[in-house]
Amino acid sequence: MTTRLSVHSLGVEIDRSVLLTGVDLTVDPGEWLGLIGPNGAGKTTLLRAVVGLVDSFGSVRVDGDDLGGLSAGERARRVALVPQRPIIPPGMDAFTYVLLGRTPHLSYFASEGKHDVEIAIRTLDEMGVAELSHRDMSTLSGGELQRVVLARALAQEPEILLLDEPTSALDVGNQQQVLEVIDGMRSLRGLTVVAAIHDLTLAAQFCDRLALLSEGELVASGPPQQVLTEETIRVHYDATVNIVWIDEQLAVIPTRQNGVEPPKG
Amino acid sequence: MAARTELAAPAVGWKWWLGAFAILFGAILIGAMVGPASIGFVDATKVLVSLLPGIELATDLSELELGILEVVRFPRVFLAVLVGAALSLSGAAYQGVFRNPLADPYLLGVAAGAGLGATLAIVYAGAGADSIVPIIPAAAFVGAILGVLLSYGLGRTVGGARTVTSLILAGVAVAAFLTAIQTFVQQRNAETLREVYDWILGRLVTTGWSEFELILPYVLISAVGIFAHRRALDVMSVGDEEASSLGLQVGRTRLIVVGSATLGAAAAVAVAGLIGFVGIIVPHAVRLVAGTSYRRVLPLSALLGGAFLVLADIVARSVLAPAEVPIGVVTAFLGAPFFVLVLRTSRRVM
Repeated sequence: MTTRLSVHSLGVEIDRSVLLTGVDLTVDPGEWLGLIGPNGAGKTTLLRAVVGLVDSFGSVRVDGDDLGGLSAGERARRVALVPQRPIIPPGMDAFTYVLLGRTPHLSYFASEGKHDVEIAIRTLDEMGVAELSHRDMSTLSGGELQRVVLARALAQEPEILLLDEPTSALDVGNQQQVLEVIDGMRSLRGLTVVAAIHDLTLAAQFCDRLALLSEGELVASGPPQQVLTEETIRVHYDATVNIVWIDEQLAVIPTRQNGVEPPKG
Repeated sequence: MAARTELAAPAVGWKWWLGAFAILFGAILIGAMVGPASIGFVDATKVLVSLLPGIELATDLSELELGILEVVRFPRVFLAVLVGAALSLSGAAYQGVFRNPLADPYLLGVAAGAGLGATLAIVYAGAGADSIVPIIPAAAFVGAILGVLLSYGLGRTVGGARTVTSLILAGVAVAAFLTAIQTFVQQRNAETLREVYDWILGRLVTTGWSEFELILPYVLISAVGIFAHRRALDVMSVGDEEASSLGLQVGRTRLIVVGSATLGAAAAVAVAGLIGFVGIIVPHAVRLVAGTSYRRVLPLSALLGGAFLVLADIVARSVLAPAEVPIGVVTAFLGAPFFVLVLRTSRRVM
């Protein structure tokens, strides 16, 4: 099987407004696809449709199997979603929270066994937050929280990890570290990653390919340098930017029409 | 590494089991000892142990005292245990399934349905609140179940059962509607006002073991249904969407848990009327001291809820003896300050 995830003419309509229409995408095993696009373009809707949280038409296949035909548990063993703003249960410690990720591997009335506990310990360790195991979730910082939430998703042992704006609430250092740790897991486990990313420069640095959504449609996809052009960003984001290359890395720099004068001397 | 080996799924540790059972056992004994004819600790314990099949311990008690214990006090105390446990468990289950710390066992029209059923029975079937006729429990039980079915049905039609809010709002509407009918019937039949009122304020009146035996199967089924979902309730604490992306069938789980909780609450209401506050205060007190995982909250709530209602009943029948204070008044009167105390002495936050 050469394609891990394939999305074919996917559409979502809620209350007669079209949120997504005719999206075709394929993602290879171990690939990192970045979803970019302005606010309201349908990035979150696409991710939610893939895990079946919104009703959609068209097809979503994982390794050739139609996700709509799988049980909720089977789907959760293959695809994990990290929402942009996860709900933090009051009074729950990080370890118990990560153990919730084992749900799709347990039968209906079963409790976690030794194996599940080991996996939770390992994923917390891999996320570099083992020492937070006993901490109440509500006491964690943004960066710590994001890592623990990622650990819960990885405890599902999915083939595909869907991330909705994983770095939007983080400072620049945590943004880099969290994306690095995701990239590390990708090579360690052969994980396939689909992430909606706001920051275009980070998206270009970490993703193998980018898919640009605009008004519910897929308008461009391909390698970052091909998708991220000053022209496409002007058209779809209504923004003026400069695409520059610094040390062989693409960077998207917003520019201001009446910029500040550079200091003289 | 030493700290890591102790990591495990949440569970009730043996110390908690021991403590909760000790409190329950103590409450049962005090319940048996206190009353117009006071009975000693040793004798009460012996009679309690003798209630177990196959065990017969000799006591210094007279026939009359033995009779009081076996026919009057223990049945009432154990009914209190059952009702208290059922209300606490149902409350905890509703709170989990609706992710709402203020949900109580009477949410979704249980109380209003039961109230209407009991009122109709008292007014039209001529069943007095103190009579042995089991028609009041039956009518209250049916009313409670119908109230919840109506709420669920209405909630589904307006919200597609997708949102918790539509279900809770449907419960509010159904409760208001049923209460309106109940009040109307009550006002039209003023001569039964007092009996209806007595029932609404809650009371534990027993005729031997019959009430206990009447509700035991329902409470057991309810408890099994709720306990089986203790882990699922923890999963649901991350919200419907995330829980379903974790592979939980949220709608089905909610339906089964609500059904189980309703059965327990309806059974309790059927024999004891509307005893308020237990279903909110006990699970909360447990959360504050033992953490928020339902794998701890559910079993401890059942045990301590039973103990709490036994103690409340002792107060209810003691303070104005030989008259009784409605137990619903006592639970609120004792419960509120106790809750504030737990809240103040605990550093955990909800």
